[in-house]
Amino acid sequence: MKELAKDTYQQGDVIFRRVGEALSPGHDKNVVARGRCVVAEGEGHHVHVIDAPVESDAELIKEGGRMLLNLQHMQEVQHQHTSGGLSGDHNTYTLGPGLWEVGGVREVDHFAQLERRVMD
Amino acid sequence: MIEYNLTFSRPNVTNSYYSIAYLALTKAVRNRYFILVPDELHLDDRGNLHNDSGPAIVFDSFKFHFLHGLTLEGEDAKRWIYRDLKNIRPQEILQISNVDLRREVIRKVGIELVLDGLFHRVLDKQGDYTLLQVLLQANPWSACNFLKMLNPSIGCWHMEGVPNHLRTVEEALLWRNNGWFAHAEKIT
Repeated sequence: MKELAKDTYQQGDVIFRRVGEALSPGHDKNVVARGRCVVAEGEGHHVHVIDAPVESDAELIKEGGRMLLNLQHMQEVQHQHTSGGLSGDHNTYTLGPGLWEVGGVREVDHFAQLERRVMD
Repeated sequence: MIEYNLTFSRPNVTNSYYSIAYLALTKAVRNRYFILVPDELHLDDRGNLHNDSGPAIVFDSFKFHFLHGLTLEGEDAKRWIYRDLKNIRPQEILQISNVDLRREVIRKVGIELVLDGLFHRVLDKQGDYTLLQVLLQANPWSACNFLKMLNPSIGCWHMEGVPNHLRTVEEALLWRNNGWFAHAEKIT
C-alpha cells in the first residue's frame, strides 16, 4: 500500500498541514490555480508542484494571507520538487485527500538582523 | 529535429528538458520540438545539471553553471565555482542568503571544515538536527543560534539561523515551521 501524508508534510522549505475535509459550502474562494498547481517557486531553478491532472478538481486558493490546497475530490496526489523537468533536491511524496494549508519555513538572518521566509 | 542558429540564453536552457533518450536538451516552442545538442554536459546522479569546477553545459561559446541543478550566474559562478574555497571564512558561507546556494557551498567545503572554522557549542542534538550557538565575531555578544540539519533526499547539510533564545531542537523546528509542527509526518 502506498505511503501518503495524512496530516502534515514537509518538502524542503514548503510545509503542509491538513486543515479539514473540505471547504464549507458557499465559501467565496479566490482560486489562483487549478489542476497542476505550482505551490512555491524558488529564486532560480526549481518549483514545488502538485502534480494533479490538468482537468482535475485540485485547486490552489488564496484566502487572506493563507494559501489553501483543495484536494477534497482527489484520492491522492503527488507533490514534486522539480527543476526544468529534472528531479529537484527533494524526493516526491504523495498527499492524501482533504483541505491543506501551504506555508513556508522561516529563518533568522543574523547578519542583517531580520527574520524572513527561507529563500532558495 | 535539430534546430540550428538558436540563440541560447539562460531561460532557453533552464526552461528546457533534459532527455535521457536524446542525451540532449529538448524544448517545445510553438508546437515544434527542438533538440539542443550541447558540446559539453555534466550531470549529477539525479540527472541535474552539475559541475563543481566549471560549466555544467556548454553550447558553442555559451557556458552555463549549475550546482546540483542550481543556476549560478556572473559573480556567483566566479565566486563559488572557480574560486579556491580552502581558506574561506565560514562566516562568509553563513552570510549567503539563498539557502540552496549556502547548502551547495557547505557541501563543497565540507560541513566538518565549516564547523572547525567556527567557534561554537552544541546546545541540543536530536537525530540529524543539531542546534548550535556560533560566535560570528571574536566576542561573546556575537553568539547566534543556527540549526544544522540534513536534507534527507540528497544527504547534504544545511545551516539556517534561528532565534537566539531557543535552547532545544524541538523549539527551533517548531519556530522554523511557523509554529505548525516540529516534525512533519513525512519530510523529503
